[in-house]
Amino acid sequence: MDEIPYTIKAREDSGLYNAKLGIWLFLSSEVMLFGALFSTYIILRIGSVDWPLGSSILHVHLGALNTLILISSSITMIMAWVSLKQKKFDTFRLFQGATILLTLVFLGIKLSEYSAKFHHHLYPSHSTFMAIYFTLTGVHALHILGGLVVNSYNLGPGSKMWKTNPEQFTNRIEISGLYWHFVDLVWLFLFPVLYLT
Amino acid sequence: MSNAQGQNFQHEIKQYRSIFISLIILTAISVGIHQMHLNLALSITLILSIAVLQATLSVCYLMHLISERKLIFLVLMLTVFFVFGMVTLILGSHASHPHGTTYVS
Repeated sequence: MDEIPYTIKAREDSGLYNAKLGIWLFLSSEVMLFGALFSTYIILRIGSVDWPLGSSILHVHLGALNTLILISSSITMIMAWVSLKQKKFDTFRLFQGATILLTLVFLGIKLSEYSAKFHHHLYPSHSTFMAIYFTLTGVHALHILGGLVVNSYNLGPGSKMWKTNPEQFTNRIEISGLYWHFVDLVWLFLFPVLYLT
Repeated sequence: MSNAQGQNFQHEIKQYRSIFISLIILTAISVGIHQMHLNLALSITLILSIAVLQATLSVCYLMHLISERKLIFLVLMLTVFFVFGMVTLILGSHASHPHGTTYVS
């Protein structure tokens, strides 16, 4: 048999289907990555003579707007999964499309923030604060980009699986959703740490 | 999908709506605290506490951790242990210096 097992049916030992355990293990590794980056921020800040208030350099309202956008995208993402559980494929497409749209708005705002910084010659080399700001938000933005690619695939060519294997497709959306909520969660810490403190 | 399952998801949809509103309100409170220009240490404590609360809501309800299998908790507890260890070691290295010397910022 060539079929990959436990894509829908839960394993007897773990009680989970394989992808769910896999994504949580992956997210654990991501926690280590961002944990290391946040630790770097802490050590740079407590070791510095002078550390600027984030709001003196960064645009708090744009950061807050981005926070609202990502929170909204988390909700549309989970509603996309709920729609599939309710066998409403058209509603799924609506919510998945909304998630992608919100992601693009987030990235657009981030790009405009970066452009404004570069316009004022605030590059990563300018100061330790700018270096860690670009590192943290840059790595986060790359994760957002990765999620965008996956979500777009699931809305586009990947959605053909709904016709052949709807349960597995629903599970794929659940897994993508877990990744997406994690990325949102990281921003829920990034925003206050960089912009508000 | 049966009506019963549709009703089941109605409860979850209401839950997600509540979480959404809660997260928005908590974000507004964070921004509000920042604009009050409190003592920095107090401000950081309050704002990060709100961030932890937001993260908890997101993980428990949006990521369904509250109803997840115990194995996932085990994976996460292991992660928390290693992250805690890593942060402790990093901050410990900042405090660590040769005998008779002091750290100069």
